[in-house]
Amino acid sequence: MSKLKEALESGAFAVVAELKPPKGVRVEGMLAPVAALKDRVTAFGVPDNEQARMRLSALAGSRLAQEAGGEPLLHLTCRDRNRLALESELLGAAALGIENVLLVSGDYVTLGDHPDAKPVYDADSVQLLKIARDLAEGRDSAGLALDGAPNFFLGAMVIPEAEPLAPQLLKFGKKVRAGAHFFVTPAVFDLEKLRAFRQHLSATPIKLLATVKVLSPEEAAQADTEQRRQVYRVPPEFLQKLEGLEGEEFYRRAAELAGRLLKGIKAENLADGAYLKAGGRVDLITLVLKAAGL
Amino acid sequence: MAWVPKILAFVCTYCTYTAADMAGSARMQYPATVRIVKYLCTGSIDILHILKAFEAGADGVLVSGCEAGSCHFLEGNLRARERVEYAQHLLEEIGLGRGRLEMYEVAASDAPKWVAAVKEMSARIKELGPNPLKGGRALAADFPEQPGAGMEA
Amino acid sequence: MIIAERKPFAEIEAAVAPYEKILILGCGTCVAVCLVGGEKEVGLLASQLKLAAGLKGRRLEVGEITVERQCDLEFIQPLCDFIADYDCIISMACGAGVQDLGRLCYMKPIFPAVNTSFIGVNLEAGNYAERCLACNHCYLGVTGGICPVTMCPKGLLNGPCGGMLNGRCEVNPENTCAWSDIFHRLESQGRLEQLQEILPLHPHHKRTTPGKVVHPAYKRRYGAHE
Repeated sequence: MSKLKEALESGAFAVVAELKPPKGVRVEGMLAPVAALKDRVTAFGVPDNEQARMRLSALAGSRLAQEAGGEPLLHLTCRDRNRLALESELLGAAALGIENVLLVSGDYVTLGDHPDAKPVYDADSVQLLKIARDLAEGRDSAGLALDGAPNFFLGAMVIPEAEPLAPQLLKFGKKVRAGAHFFVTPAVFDLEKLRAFRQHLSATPIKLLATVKVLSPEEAAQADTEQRRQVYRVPPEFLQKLEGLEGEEFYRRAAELAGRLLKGIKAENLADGAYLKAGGRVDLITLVLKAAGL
Repeated sequence: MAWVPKILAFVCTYCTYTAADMAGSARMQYPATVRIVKYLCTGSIDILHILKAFEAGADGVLVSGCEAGSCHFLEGNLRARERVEYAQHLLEEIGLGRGRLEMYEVAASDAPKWVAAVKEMSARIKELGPNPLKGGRALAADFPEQPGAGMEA
Repeated sequence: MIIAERKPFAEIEAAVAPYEKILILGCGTCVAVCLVGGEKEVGLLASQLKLAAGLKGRRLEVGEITVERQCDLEFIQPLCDFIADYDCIISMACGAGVQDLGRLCYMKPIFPAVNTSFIGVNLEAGNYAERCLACNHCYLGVTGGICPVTMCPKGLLNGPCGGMLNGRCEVNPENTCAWSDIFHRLESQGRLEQLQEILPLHPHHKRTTPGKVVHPAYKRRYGAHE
């Protein structure tokens, strides 16, 4: 059984730290957090061409993380592969012993660094969850029987701050019915919004990982302008605490703030675990964990 | 004998033509470069007329109608403005440039503005030089070539 | 209807550079409505070509004919008599018209003057918007009349995605999120339960190109197999 699944089902507070796959083949930087933190962190998230920017394959990255002693949480987006490739990738992951998978739609191609590429989206995230669940039951999406069924712990995204919220809640329900076992939120900066969202989660005993993010100076600067591609809002009070700081000082403070948010989330039981985005940097992840008291 | 620009002026009846008429009555002096083509309203100018003018060898085309908001036919001058801008784009595409076509707004009582428009356009066309397509269909054998007379410096 | 945009003049000019006798063929249906390929636009292009050639010291002979539409053989068949006088044809029709013409006059080089853009609607003169991707499996009945395949850039059948911000689309924030619109449309019609259904994977095989449709009443005539 996956450590992540065990942790969430036992009620322990799970922590997933995100790795940063390179745009290239030099993987030492990506894997540094695994060696340093594999005993402090439940699993390591490996994004899939995040923000439509071409990176080393998430499946390869997950395998490498696994060989370095960490448990991966493999991301799979609908953007770049048709159903054949998606199923093939899922079977490959399972055969390599990778159980944790986060199934997402994926940012559109024009937002990334290969804007002329063909967007696929043969399946959407709901359909992909169903595909993965059906594979686990021994059938592919064409209804054909499998030679050995995979085992998955399936995750999906939910957007607590979606506006309007109603369509998002409807989709959340569909994802649960399609087979999602746990959910991850985008970066949280305002606990009040997370509290408000939890009101809607009453019925289902669904596990939630709140994402906590260490902002970069560029991201903080962008947060003031029209927040086009961001599915979270950074409240002005939060940005104020980072005013006037630059470079490493900025990152350290941003990490402390993230850690304190995380502490609050855990204290109030607002989530069953956390997903840490800190640019894949060991020093920043460590700072966040320290400030959170973990 | 210095070259005198041949400019076709597409003007509307109710505003610009009236102003031009008044300028004539008042004996206001301006370059003898324009040949007036009278439209009921600039809104009935077809872009093709403008292109054909250049095909025929005109050095410049001046379009002039009522001031925005005062068109006798309500929106004719607004449509003319859009068409003139598109025609400028078409002329730029083929390498003739936007400068040889311009739209002005001249109210019926504003004879001085008509004079100013003609002077400005003439000066501009003098600078741009003759239509490189001279040698196409002749505009007309009787187009006035008047060295010196009426030409402001 | 089909919406198209006129190609940049430089591209058209370059394509017909080797030729002196050019026939410009307009189309009186879709491209005339969206103001890029009808009789008027044929006249404008002809004038542009003659002016441009004149600037380079060349004289062109440019013919101008506009037919009802170029995607119907009955309208383009009469052209066979005229085409012989010209070295090449510029067709202002959409891609379908250009190709139908090519089937008829396959010996003559034919160059397109427009880029065919999409199937869409005429919002107002000069303003056209895409509405349909011709997916051959229409969902409009279950999405309150808003197409998820076309209006959502990702073509999600179970949306919205995480990129919706303030009901706007992450790909083009000037557009509203199609799924947000679908939600509100069904809500106003009291049909929200429709959205509980998980729409299954799209049957892309229905759009293997090139597509072909034989009307059921004509299957015998054209020997189409069941």
